[in-house]
Amino acid sequence: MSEHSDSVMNMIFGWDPVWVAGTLFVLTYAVIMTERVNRAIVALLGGMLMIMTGVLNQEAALRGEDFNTLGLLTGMMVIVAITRRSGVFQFVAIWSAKKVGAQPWGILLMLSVVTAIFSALLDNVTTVLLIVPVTLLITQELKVTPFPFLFTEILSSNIGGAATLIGDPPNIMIGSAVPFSFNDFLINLAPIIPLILLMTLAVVWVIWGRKMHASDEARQNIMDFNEKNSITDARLLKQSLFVLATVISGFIFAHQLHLEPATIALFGAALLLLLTNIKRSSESQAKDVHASFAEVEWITIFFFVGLFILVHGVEHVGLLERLANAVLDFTGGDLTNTALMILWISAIFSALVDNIPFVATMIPVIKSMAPVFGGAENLAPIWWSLALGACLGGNGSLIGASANLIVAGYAEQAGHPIRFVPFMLLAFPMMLMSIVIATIYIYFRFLV
Amino acid sequence: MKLKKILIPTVFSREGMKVREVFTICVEAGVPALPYLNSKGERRGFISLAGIMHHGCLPNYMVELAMVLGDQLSCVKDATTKVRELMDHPIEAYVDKPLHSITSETPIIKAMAILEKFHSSFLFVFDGDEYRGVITAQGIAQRMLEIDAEKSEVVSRES
Repeated sequence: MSEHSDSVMNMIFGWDPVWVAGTLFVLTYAVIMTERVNRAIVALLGGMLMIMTGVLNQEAALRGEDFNTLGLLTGMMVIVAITRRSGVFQFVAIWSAKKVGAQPWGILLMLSVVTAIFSALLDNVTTVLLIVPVTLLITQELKVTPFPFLFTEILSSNIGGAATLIGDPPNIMIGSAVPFSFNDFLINLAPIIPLILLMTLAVVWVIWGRKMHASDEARQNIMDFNEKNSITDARLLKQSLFVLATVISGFIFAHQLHLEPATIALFGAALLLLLTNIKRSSESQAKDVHASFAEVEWITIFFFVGLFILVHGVEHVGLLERLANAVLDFTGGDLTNTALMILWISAIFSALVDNIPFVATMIPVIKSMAPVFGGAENLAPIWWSLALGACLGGNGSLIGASANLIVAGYAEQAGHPIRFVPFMLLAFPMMLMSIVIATIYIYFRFLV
Repeated sequence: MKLKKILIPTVFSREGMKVREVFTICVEAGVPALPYLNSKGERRGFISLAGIMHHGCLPNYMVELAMVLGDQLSCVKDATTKVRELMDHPIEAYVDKPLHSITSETPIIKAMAILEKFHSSFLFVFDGDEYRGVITAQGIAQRMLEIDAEKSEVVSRES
């Protein structure tokens, strides 16, 4: 039984709380997986039912909330929402396409690298929303099919997102639950990311890249694009880049500053709002602040709010401890077996279902394994396995990550639908390849 | 100030019509949109010139990146073919959801408030099931100019 003994733990309407919590948890996850009802609604309902059925009281439920994750996500969403208005991301994307002389393969390479870098620093959904329009425009002008470009960008976005604490929600959650800093993620995860990206691009080159061609005239159309015109507000650009640089520096020096990532991100958001509003009228300020807050992905935030309560409920009744014991029984309590099993299970799960609920569930499961492995400090290989598995696994199918669906939706709207099966036939083996690389990395870096 | 004076009577757009027919009616009547009837004669929304141009000619990514486009674009070369294709296209793909409509007795100020509320430049006028026509922001402006001219005339006559 976990720490919150003040919560209601009596029989609920004559039912065992373990059954009530377990049933609520399974039902909520099942409905989330069907994608018939918005995931935020389902998670919030599930979370509230955990309280209303008496599995948790409100106080205990609030203790389940991870305010570091919520604050970090919200802060970064506000910063990115304001920064993107400056047009800087489009500038970089078009500038990079022109740098390679508008050669199709060169553009694919550049846009993939830019996507991976942006994804490491911004959230993946924002990144693809910025890159996909540029890709569609460029491929239209080059008269080449956009699928290889979009496909590689999806993969690059999930690969790049795995590199940092702020790159992907699973990393944000892991970084918040365990005392891993921004630098810990950089030191332990980022080194393998270029190799995975390189191998992915090598496969893409074999499949499509070597056959890509565009006429000189079409390439000239791209070279005529004026990327400088995408910068619509130079002052906003300077302010945004200053705050973004300050926030990233804050993450790097968070340990020395004794600050949590959420504090840094929310401070950055507030600072950027201040800088962009300082000389405006109160009416104009209210409008601008409202618009900036409106761009926060509240669906994601409320999804997390509900999910944290839900997971805390099953943790509270001891179900996750039982799950952890089952995993340890299966792996014989061996660190190598456990880490690699978590890596592969995370990858397969994340390819098929949303990786956020999976990681939210696995965090308490892994935490409870600490005594078996001689303390929390020895769990690092398992945490890195979870991070790499969950982030890279998102590449396994079109529904593996939110960014994948966003690209597919945008492409379909533009008349270039990406179908589930053709995507998976190519993406799943490539995801497996990345997990094989991750397995070798985890093994030699952390387990021998 | 009532709407009757600025009302522009038009026909409906109907299921099976081509874009060419709608463009012709709108351009001749000087209206930006027409109400749409399905094959059963039921009102199912409206067709607007802006909607057809947006959905038929402009992918979202071109709009998003409008500022960076150069003067040489691949689609410019094929413009004639593209226009022809668009004109032959059935209008069903461009039907927008029904707009709030008003009656011919509605005061212009209320019509202006509704235009503002829905960020629209036109409204359809119905008296019950009877379709009367379209009112536009230009029509309202024109009526305001007329009122201003009438007033000036009265003032100059009195003086």
